[in-house]
Amino acid sequence: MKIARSKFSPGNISIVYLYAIGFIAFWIWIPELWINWTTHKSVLNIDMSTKAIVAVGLVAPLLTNTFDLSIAGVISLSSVMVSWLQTEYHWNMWPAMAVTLVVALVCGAVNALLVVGIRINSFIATLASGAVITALAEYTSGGVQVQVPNSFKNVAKNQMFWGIQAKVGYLAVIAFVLWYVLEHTPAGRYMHATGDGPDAARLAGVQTKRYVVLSLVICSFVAGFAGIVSAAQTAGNATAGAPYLLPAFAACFLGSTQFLGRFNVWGTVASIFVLASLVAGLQRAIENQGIRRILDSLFFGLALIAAVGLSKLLERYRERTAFKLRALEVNRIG
Amino acid sequence: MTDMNTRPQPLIDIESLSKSFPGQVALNDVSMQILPGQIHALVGQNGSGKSTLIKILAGYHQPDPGSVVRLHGDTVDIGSLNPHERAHLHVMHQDLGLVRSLSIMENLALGRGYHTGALGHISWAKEAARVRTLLAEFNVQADPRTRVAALAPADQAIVALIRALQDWGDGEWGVLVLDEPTASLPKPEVDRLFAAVRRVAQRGGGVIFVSHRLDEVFDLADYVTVLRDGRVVGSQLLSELDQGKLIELIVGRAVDDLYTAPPEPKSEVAVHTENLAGENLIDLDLTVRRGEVVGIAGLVGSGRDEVASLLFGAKKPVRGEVRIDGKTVGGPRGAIIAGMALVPADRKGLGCIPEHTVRENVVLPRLGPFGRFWLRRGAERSEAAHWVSEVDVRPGDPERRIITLSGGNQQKAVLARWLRTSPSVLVLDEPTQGVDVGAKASIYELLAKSAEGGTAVIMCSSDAEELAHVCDRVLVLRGGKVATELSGGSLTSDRIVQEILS
Repeated sequence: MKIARSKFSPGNISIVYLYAIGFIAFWIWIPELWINWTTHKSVLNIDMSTKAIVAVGLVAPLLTNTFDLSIAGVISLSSVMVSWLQTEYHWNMWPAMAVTLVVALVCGAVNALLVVGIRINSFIATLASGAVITALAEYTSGGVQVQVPNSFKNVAKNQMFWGIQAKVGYLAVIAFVLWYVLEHTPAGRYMHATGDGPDAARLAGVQTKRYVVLSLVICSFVAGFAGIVSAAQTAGNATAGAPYLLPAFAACFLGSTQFLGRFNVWGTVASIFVLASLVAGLQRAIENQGIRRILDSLFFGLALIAAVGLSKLLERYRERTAFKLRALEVNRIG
Repeated sequence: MTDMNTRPQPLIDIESLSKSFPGQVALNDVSMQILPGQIHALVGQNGSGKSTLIKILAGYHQPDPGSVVRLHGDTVDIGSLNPHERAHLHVMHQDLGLVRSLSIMENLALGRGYHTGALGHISWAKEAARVRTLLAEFNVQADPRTRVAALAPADQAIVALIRALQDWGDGEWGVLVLDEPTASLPKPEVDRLFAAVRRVAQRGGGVIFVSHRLDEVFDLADYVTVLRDGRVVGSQLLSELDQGKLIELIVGRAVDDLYTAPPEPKSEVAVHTENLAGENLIDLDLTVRRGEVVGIAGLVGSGRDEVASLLFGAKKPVRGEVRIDGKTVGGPRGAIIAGMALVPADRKGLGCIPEHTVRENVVLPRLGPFGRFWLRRGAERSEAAHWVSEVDVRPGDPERRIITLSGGNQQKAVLARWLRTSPSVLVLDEPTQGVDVGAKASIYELLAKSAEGGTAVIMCSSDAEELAHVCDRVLVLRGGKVATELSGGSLTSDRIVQEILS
């Protein structure tokens, strides 16, 4: 009797199947729009890249079983901060970006202090800190968009090849680094252990607090970077962060049902890509620009419910099989 | 009382109760009666059938056909009592079943409901007055609005007691089963609880008192039923017994003192504690040398269950320190670096990470050999495979999630994790709990082998047979202190049980 599912079974890579089905459906429905590089390019450049950067950063705290809801606030603050330093103080973009990233790190450190130091439930702590950080962003921006110099816009929009923008490159690099850290280093292994059995991990000598802190700092740093990219895309905006929160969580949880059966970087990236593609296809098929926001909320919301529901069902199935297996063994021995 | 006609009707009458599990008879033709006003002790070793009997009374197990239980003379189906019957046979477990965040008054109203006024509102004043009377009667000095969590442990137990007996109508007394109610209470608190229990009996209720502590049995109860191997081997007034005779009934034969010289010190000291104290542990001086296997015995509450986590630093000691190879350490990480390993009692919560694979669990404490920045999967896999076969985990697939293994194989994998670190001190807490017989034997073998290799093994266990079988010497804890040390010829399971109970 084998419990491990085959690598290609629908349960393991369901989003790949979902994408295939969607791809064929849109091919039939809107062939000239769908079999068209412009569509897929815009999915990568606009719909997916920044969202996915935020989402892969969120994988780290979720692995240690810690929620970080402050990402929306951190994105807003860093988007305002990096624009404000350039426009108001005429800073060069490099120091402006550096200082912004340091501010993001400080946000992560504050979260860590609340969660690990004072031991506030991470959900509550980051909900609150996120609100405070958003308030800071609102105050700094004065409630209006902060324009950015054109040279800075290139940070996001520089073309790499085939019309793909630099943002997609950042995503690739960040995802690769996080995949490496989370899956192939001792630190990543300790984070897994911390998330799945904090007390057991501590008794195995893992400094669990340290890894929760590390995961929160990583998440804030990546969110800060995403804020910079979002500012370069349009302008500094204190409301920039809010739309990223749901997609990031939806992608992480959907991703956690894919490939490895737990939170993982490539599952998260794939989830965002598939969901963004489906939204893009549907939006073009219906030929309604205004419907995009509705579809976005609808798809990512449904994906989050489906993912969490699915993992609950999976958990129960696993428990049952584990129990059956044990019963079988006991029968064999007894 | 000698005349059958004037003898009061038993509150509960258990007649030839049996219970068998596949391959094992847990209870065999057990009969006992509880009379109004009687405090009836139920004693026996671990595995005597005591806990099965309590579980049957609590409705968790269905007894075998042919067993008869009568409440107030009426035959009842003990496996599914109706609420009225259940109120008259109330089993109070160690966790008391109170909602700690609610007040005394609210806890007492749960299940019974509140006094309500004409508008359906709760008449708090009336309710409070009723509860205050009850609390005064049982000598609990607390306002009815006090949260249960804020009460002393004995008072919490008394509130649970009151909640059980408030459901008995006037003149319709029920039976209260107290399952080890004193296990985690200090002595003065025990006295207060006992006063409350006596009060229940004075009112006319019956009490079944389950305890390992024989001095408490003599202090509180007036009648005793002794179980051994699932049978009633004694049922008599406590005034007709003394402690020695009772122990003899429990163990099944006379236990005599044997003197043997303590073994000679053989090697260097691996772990040493002085005046180590925790919540229940008052004072532990422990010196274990390399190659020794030392057992720690004692009842729940004797401090035995704390020793492992105190030694390892998982729990901060109130007093004292632990020296490993002469160095003082604090905290699990320090202990591991200093060469200590802990196999905790709670396997799923503390011993391993259930959802991770056997490989991940085995290598977790020491990832160093696989690289600092890049874990080489190949090296990791082959090392995990080596340990899986070394301790004979079945099935021998390191990529299986550990939770899918049987208890015994999980424990072998946990043991492999720590043997891999070649510890100088290996501490185990209840190492064979929930482990099948076959795996038990191989775990003992692994421990012996590891001791031969120079590891100091410390094994805390509630299983006297196992301690006698595996250990070179056994420290028996009683009331938080080492009561005696057994070794050589005096190290038998009977003797351990006797010392634990004394």
